[in-house]
Amino acid sequence: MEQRNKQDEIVRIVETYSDMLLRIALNRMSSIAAAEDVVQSTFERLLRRNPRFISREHEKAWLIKTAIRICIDESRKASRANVPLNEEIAEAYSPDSFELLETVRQLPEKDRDAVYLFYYESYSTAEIAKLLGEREGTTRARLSRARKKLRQLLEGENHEQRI
Amino acid sequence: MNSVYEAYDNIAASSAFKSRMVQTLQQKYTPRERAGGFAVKRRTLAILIAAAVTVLAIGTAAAATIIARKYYSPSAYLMQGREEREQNQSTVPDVENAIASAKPESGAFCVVMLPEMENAAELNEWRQKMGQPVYSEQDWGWIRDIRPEIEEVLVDGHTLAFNVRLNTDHGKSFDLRYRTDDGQRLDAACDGATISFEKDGQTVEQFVYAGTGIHPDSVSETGATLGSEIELKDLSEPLPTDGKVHVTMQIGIRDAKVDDMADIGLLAAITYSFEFDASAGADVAAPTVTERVLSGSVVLTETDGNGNEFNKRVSLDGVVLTETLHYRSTGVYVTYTLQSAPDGWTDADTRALLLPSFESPSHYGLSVVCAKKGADAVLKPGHSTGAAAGEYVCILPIFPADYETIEAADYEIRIGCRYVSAYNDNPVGEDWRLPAGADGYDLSTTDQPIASFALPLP
Repeated sequence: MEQRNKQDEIVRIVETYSDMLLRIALNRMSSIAAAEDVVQSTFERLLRRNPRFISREHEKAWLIKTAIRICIDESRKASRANVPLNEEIAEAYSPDSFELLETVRQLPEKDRDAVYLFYYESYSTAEIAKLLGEREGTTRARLSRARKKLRQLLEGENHEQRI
Repeated sequence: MNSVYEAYDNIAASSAFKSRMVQTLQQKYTPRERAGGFAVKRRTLAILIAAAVTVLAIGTAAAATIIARKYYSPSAYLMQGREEREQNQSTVPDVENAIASAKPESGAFCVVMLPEMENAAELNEWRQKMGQPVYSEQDWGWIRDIRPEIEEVLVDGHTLAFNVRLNTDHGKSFDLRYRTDDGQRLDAACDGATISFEKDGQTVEQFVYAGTGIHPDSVSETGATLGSEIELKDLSEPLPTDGKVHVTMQIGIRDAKVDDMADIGLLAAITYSFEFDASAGADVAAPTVTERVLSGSVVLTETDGNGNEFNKRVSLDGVVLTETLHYRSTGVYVTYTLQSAPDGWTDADTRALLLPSFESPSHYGLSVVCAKKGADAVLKPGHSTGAAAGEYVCILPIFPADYETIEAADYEIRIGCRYVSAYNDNPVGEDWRLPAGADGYDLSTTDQPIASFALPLP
C-alpha cells in the first residue's frame, strides 16, 4: 500500500508542478536542459526531505522557494557572464515566450521572480514578499520598477495588451 | 507579444520530460517490496528518536505546540477567513477574542464611477494610451452593483484588521488567475479609511492609510474578500478600549490592464462604512517595562545616504534598551527602543541595530526569539510590522491560555543581530561596503548572539 501511495504521489507532484517549476527556472537558466535539471533537483529535494505541509498552497510555496534557491546555486556554479537565452526556446514554446523571457532576463533576478509570481501565479505582493523573504514595500517597489522596465523594453511593438 | 500571462502560459514541460521524471523519481524514491518493512521500521525509529529529543528539550506537550508556531501575525490569521480556519482547525480561541462584533452602518455605501470623477477625461486618455478602450457603461456598469459587506474585524492595541466581502456576480474578474470571456481583470484596494469615535463628549475623526489586498483564495463567482490592515500607531488619538468605533473606507476598483496600483487605473471608487465594538482590543494585563543593559561588540550593517549597505563594528558597552511587553489576546508584543548610549553612538547605529530582521538569509538587523533555556528549539516571532525607525516590534505567538501551561522561568528572550557576511557568495568582513553601481546582487547574513533575558508573563 505504501509503495502504491508513493508512486501515485510522485505522479501527482510531477503533473501538478512541472510546468510552474519550469517557468520559474527559465527566468534564470539559459536553456531548457538546464531548467529541466532545476525541476528535477527540486522534486528530488522534496522527496528526500519529505516535509509536512498544512495545505496545497504551503506545498506550492515550498516548491517555488526551493526552485529559486536551486537556480541561484546553479547560476553561481556556472560562469557569472550573462549567458544568452538558447533560441531553442522559441521553437519549443513560442516566439512570444522567447521574447518575454529575453525581456524579463534583463531585469534583476529577484525582479524576475516577482514578475512571474505576480503576473502568472497571481500571488499578492504580501505573499510574494513572504516567498522572497523581503518586506512587502520592497516587493511592490520591485514590481513597479519591473513594470516600467518591461514597458520600456517592449515599447514600440504592436501589442494588444500591455503589462 | 500579447501578454505576459499568455507568454508564460505557452511554456510547459513536455510529456516526454514528465514521463522521464516520474520514472526516475519512482525508481529512486519508492520503497522496494523486500526492504519496505525495513524502511518503515527505520523511519518509525527515526520519528521516535526525534520525538524523544523534542520531549526532553521542551518538556510539555503544550510547550511543544507553542514552539511549533511559526510566522504568525494577527492579520495573517484573519486572512484565512472564519470558514477556512474552522476547516483547517487552526482556530486559536484567544485570537478569536480579538475579533470584534461588527456591522454595517445604515446608508453604508456609495459608488462613484469613472465618468463621474473630476479627472474622467485624463483617466480615459490613459486607458487609450495603455491600449484599452475608453470607459463604457456596457463594459463596466456592473461595478455599480457591487455590494460590500463587513465580514470580520480584528483589533488589538497594535493592529486593526478587517475583511470586507465584495459581493458581485463578476467575482472572477478579481482573480488574475482566471481569464473571463470578456477578459476583464480588476484589483480592489482600500485607499484609506476615516476612523471616528466619541471621546469626552466630542467626535474624534482621523484619516489613515491601510495595507490592503484581495485574498486570492477568497475569489469565487459571487465575489472576493478585500483584507485591510491599519497600524494603530498611525492614529494621533488612540482607539478607545470600549464603545463603538466607526470606519469609513475608500475602496478603489482598478483595471489591472491599465494600472492596478496608481489612480490612473481607477474605474470606480466605493465608500463603505461599518462600526465595531472596541472592547475586543483591550490588553489582557498591564505591560511590563524593563531596562536591558548590553555589552560586548557586534558588526552592524548600515546604509549610507544613497541606500548602499556597509558594515561597521560597534561597541555595545553602555547601550541600554527599553524592553516593553504588551500582553494581548493576539500574542505578546515585544518592543525595543534605545534608552541611552555612550558618546560616539549615532542615530544610524540605532536604526541599524533595531532594524527588524525577517526570516530570510539576506536580512540584517535585530533578531528576537523566545526559547527554552538550554535548548536550541525556538519560538520565532511573527512578522514584525508597524515599527518606526529606531524601534523594533515583534509578536511572540504566546497567548493568554499559554500563561498557565508553560513555566515562564524556563524560558528566555534571546536577542541577536544579523549582519552581511557574504556578497554574491563571497565572504565579506566588518569593513565591507557595497560596490558602487551594484545591482541584482545576493546578500547572506550571519547572526551574532547579544544577550538573553527572562521572559516575564502575567
